[in-house]
Amino acid sequence: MFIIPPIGRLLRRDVLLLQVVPTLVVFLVLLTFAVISWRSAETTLQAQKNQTITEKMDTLEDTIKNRIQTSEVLLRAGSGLFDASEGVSAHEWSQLYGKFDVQQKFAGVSAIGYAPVVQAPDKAAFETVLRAENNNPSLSITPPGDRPLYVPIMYFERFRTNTSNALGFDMYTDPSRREAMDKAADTGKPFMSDKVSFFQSESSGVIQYMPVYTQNAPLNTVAERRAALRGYVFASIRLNELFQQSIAANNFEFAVKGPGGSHKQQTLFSTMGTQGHSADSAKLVRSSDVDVLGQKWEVELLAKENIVSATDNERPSTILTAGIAISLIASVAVYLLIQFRTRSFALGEERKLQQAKDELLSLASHQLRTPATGVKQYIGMVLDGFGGRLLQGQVKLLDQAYKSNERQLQIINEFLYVAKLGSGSLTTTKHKFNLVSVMQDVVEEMASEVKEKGHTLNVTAPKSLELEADEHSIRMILENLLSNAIKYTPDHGHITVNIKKHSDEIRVVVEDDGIGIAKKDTALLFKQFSRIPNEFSINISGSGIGLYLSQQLAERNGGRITVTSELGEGSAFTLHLPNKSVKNLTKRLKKS
Amino acid sequence: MKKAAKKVLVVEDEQALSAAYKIILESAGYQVRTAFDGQEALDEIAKEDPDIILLDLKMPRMDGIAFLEAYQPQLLKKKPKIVVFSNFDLQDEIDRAFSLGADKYVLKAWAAPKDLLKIVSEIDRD
Repeated sequence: MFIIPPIGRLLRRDVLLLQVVPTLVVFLVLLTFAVISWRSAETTLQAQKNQTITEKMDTLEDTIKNRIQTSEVLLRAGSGLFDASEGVSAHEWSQLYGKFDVQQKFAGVSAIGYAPVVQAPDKAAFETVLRAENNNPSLSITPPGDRPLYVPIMYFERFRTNTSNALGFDMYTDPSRREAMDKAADTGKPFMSDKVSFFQSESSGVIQYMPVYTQNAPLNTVAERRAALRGYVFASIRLNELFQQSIAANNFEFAVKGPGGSHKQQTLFSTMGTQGHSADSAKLVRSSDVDVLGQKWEVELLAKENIVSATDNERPSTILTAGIAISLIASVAVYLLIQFRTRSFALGEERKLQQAKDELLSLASHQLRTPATGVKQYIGMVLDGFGGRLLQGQVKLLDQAYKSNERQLQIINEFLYVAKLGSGSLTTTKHKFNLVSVMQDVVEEMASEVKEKGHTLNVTAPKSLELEADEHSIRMILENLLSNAIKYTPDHGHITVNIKKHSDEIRVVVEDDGIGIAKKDTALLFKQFSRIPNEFSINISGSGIGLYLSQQLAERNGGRITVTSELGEGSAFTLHLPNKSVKNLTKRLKKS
Repeated sequence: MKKAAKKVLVVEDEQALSAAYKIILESAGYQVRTAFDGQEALDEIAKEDPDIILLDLKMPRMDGIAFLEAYQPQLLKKKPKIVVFSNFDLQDEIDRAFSLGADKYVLKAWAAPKDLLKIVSEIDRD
């Protein structure tokens, strides 16, 4: 037999190597790329956030420094006034600061004042001047009591409501103020106090001091500066107002910490807790020290989540999600592509193999047929008288030889068909033909065998019956069924052939009154190479593939062969073929 | 007046078959020439155009298909009838032969001497 098994499925190891591994590699490479992109986006986002924070912090520091330095201008102006003239009157003081528009232009400054240094012996004289300059006879140095040194407020220009008039208040009695004043006096530079409570007021803040020295006195050393000290120009600054007016920033909070009473670090100001601000969502992101007039303030910057836009914030996760999605999609695409390519490659290989098999089958049958064909021609020629007249006995012998040769060719043909069926390369071509005329041809071909065995053969059929099927297959089936009936019926038997068109199918029944088949054997009939042992099968040659082949060919044409038989009573083989007329199909549909 | 004998060219590499066909056809009055392969067939045709060509497919040197590819019967006034007469039954090759101008295909093994004469006379009539 020429059956070559079809290409096997790919082995599991090959599937792994050819399909799974490349897919995984593509997935992992793309995924790595996605993760790298995600990390890079995270870094960029972080840098962007840091940049925003740095910018914000710089702005904050600058603003704080600017505000403090701006109020320093006021101090230097007052100090300059004293430097310019030996005596400054309350009127001149008031006039000077009236020009500055302090309320509008100097954030947080609630009052500007001047406080001279008064030695104990000069206390009474000072109080007289204080009352006269301020037109207030009830003024005196507060708190009362005798002290070696006083720094009482002599001029006091107020710029904010709710500012108590602190005239006469001895600032030297307060340790925080005294420390700032001493430092200012010793250094000759403006100096700022710790956070203090303002005089007779609920508000608090810091006080900036600028020392005022005697005109033309040498100021090179601390001792010289102390000796030349006349007093202080000072500015009271409300921290809330200093900061609040200025540094409103979206998404950020900030707090300023600095020394309070007894140098304890305390919060000087915080945006949190004010209206619309809460500490809950803000996190400390940066802190920095700012030097302001001798004080070290710590500025803390707090940020909420959304210091960058939502789009910027979500970019890394978007990139990661998209990256994973793209990796998955691409891997699936690669997998499908590989599968497609593998399949089409396998199909191509299978097609090539199929062609090779067909070629081999045809070549083999060609080689087998050719010598048999030669025998057929020459015996045929002798029988036809090409070699001269033959004797009766010679004709008989040559007839046997001719039949054997025919049988040989028949077997070659049957084997070829079975091989083609096995390899799946049997092609059948359907076209319309007259079934009755094909049957008549077959009957004619076998007429001599029928006559030889003394059988009677009756054919019942319509004049013509059109069928759409592979004519060659149908012819082979009919030849096989009729040939079997002739062979397996004892001499002088009766064979009938009945062709009839039924509503749903066409039936060809070949019936004989021969030896019949036992029920148990009928299943064997259509099996390849099976022959049922009986008195004929011993003597009659056969390959055991006739009925198997016929059944296969019938099925290929949409039909089948059935058999009814009783042992000793004869057999009836029926070829059922589909009746494909549209009319009948419609009828069947209606029925169902 | 007697009709001129029809000229048949038998292209067949199997000498025994070729000889048999020649005898059978000549007995029926055909004028028969034989060629061993496609190339010889072309040579024979160059000498004289046949009316009928019996063409085998599997032959050495130049096979039936190669012959049909080389042969240009369209140029002739009357195209010879070509019967592919072969034991080689690969459907693709048969289809190819028809597409190259063959008129009929017969499986050689089924044709007894009587059948051969019938085939040739039928194709001649068509």
